[in-house]
Amino acid sequence: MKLLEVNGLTVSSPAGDLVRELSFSLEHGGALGLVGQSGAGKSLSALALCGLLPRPLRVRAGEIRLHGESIPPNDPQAWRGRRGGQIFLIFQSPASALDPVVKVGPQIAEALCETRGWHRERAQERARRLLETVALPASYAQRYPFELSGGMRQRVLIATALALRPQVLIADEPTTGLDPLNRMAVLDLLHRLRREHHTALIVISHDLRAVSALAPEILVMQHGSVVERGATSRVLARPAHAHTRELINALDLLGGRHA
Amino acid sequence: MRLGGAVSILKRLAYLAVVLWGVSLIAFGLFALAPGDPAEIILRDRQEAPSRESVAELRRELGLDDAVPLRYARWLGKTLKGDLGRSWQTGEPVAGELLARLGATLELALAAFGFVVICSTALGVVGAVYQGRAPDRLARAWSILSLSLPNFWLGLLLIMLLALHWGLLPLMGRGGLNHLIMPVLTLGLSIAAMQGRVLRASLLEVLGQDYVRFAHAKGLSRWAVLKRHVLKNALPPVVTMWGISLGHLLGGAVIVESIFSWPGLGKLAVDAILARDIPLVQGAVLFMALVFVLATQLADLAHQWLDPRLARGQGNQGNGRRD
Amino acid sequence: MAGVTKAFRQSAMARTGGLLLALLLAAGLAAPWLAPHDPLRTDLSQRLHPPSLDFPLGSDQLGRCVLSRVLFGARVSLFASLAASLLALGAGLLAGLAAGLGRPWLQALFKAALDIALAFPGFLLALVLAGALGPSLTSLVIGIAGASWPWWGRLARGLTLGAKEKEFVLGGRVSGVRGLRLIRRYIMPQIAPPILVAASLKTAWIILAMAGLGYLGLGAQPPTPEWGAMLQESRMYLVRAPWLMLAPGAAVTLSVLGFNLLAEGLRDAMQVKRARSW
Repeated sequence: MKLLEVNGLTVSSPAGDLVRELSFSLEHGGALGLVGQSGAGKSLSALALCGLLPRPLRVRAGEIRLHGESIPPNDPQAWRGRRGGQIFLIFQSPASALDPVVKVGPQIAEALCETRGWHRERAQERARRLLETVALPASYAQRYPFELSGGMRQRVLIATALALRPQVLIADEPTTGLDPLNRMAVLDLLHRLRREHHTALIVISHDLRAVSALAPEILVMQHGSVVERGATSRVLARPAHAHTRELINALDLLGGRHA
Repeated sequence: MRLGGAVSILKRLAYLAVVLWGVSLIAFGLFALAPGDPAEIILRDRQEAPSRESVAELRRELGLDDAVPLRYARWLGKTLKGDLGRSWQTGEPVAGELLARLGATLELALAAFGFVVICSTALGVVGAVYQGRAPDRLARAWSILSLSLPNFWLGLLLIMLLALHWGLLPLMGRGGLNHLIMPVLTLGLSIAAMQGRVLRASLLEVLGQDYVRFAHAKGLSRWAVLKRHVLKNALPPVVTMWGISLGHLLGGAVIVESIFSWPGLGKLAVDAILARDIPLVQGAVLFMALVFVLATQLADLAHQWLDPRLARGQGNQGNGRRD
Repeated sequence: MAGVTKAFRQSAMARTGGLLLALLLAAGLAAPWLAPHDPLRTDLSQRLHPPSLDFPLGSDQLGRCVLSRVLFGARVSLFASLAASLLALGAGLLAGLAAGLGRPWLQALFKAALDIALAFPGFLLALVLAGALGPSLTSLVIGIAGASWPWWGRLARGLTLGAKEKEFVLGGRVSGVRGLRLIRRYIMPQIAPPILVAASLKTAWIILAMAGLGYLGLGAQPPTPEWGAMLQESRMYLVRAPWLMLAPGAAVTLSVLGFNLLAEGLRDAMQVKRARSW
């Protein structure tokens, strides 16, 4: 049985479809890349997979199966209890994903209190250890998000993922906007999560590099539809769709492909 | 940072002093320079015919013939010592008259404030949770209507129906809980509507933020998200508004106190103004402005204290910004 | 400005408010032709008649026609409110622009003046000002304008400070646009729409304050028909002649409702435009 199966997922706004017929499946410990320009529908797909689409957006058609069980995509109740432990999403912009008026430590710890029923002290202590795991001083638990840099905030999000150890982790643009050292560190952490906890990864990015480092298989999206899919090495070496070639060429022009 | 805190408190105090000095100028200037000879008014209040000699003597007695700056300095000096002069109508010290009315105003203000907090929270939460749907529309229609109802008319309508027609409530004056119902409704309805709108906007703004969605993604229950993230972010601006409205309420609900003959500061001020009892007006105005300024300052402090970005003396860099 | 017109056309709420106001203003203007009686003529033989064909909204304690008084009252109440509103708007805008654009010492001076004036609850300040000047309609208008301008000043100052920092305004300043030209070309177009919405809300407040002070006995003196004063006179007859209180109160409510609907509708329509931009 597959861990996650998505069949014909279609996300719509009142004005029309924004994601069309997205299908893929994922094994325990597997990894998948979702690539495309901004506006291709990657982030919306991610939100739909967690049942977090903001109104008036909704899933118009398609099926999401977790452990073989179909989850009604527009029913918020059905997702509660699955989010966090089974499927978790690291948001695109770490600056806005963290609550500005709550300290970092409690933001990590509350996930454990809520989904595992841990005591506050135990969860707080774990949060401090996890901050050290992502190479931040444990004392940063007492800081507010605005007192951290962009790279540090991204690490806090990853520490949250490490705390939850979800079966499926969706990382939306995890390395965008980070300097090279931070980027390496984040990729490494995601890799570890997959290796040590068997977390299945969905990595979303406009940056083929970030994806190719993590996922053996990728989907290329354009205007809400998947235009190409296959093994990452094959897609990079012999792109079949014009849009994939565009993305690769753009990467070459920036001199980044082999960096 | 501690030094920065001390400096900011000093700055705040200095600014407060400037504002209060301006308030004293207005309170003194308005009536001291207003048309009409105070001496004549006093004599009339004493039921004496104002002859030229008696007026002139009284003017000398009150120091009205001195230059205005001198009169202001004298008045300010006495005021700072807590001596607000004597009422021209009763001859009693103004400070005593004010204190005697304080209890009634406090009672009405606090009751109305409680009403406002409860009602505005209900209106705001319903509006935000059911945004765009029937309950929200209803709450909105209710708000616009209560904002449009003049409180003096609402007061009269309530008196006509509840007190005179059905005889359910006492007509006017201060007494038990019964006496509070109509004044509180009259006073609180429009303020609650206004604050409900503010709370709704604030809640909606927060509900649309990424960190709320991220909290859901972490697997938090709805209640936990509301308690730990939504309210924490939505409340500070609302608390500020609540503080300002408490200032308004404490500053004397002038009209409502008049309608229901509530023996508070507002009624005292209106009666004093209509009787041109200048020391009493000056004292009441000074007192109400002082209360109002302090309430707004406290609200501001509460806001700073609730928002760590302000509390730690930083701007709100890097928050809620998308790239 | 085009944005405001468009918002007005889009919002049913704004149009309802506008229509309501147009009707009330027209009723005030046409009062001499619409009113069935002379609003000032007393006739003690016709005291306290309930609404009838002759007196559509009844007659008051001096036998005057309530409908005629409410109609003529629209002239007094609405036009005095509009005058006070415009006066306050003008003064407040000037002060706000000075506090936002002037030389540093001028900015500081105006900011302090605004803060001092804002230290009074608005209605109290209006009451004291109007009281000091003595009861008359003129002093009421001055008192209310004097209590409202700081509110405008603060709004205009905030908006001006925000507008000033926008890049294209900075561009204009760098290329030498100064003074009135800068205000007209760059600042006004940006701050006008929110100011219009606020103007509508503030006028609603002013009508309330005007009638409220009239109710307290400041403002227009008898026998001038003014809504607030009419309500004060109706107090004695709440049981015997409730129509005396219903008509002027409803007139105030409808006027305030008109401005509130206009403001809410405009704000809605303009906000939606912004929200759709994603």
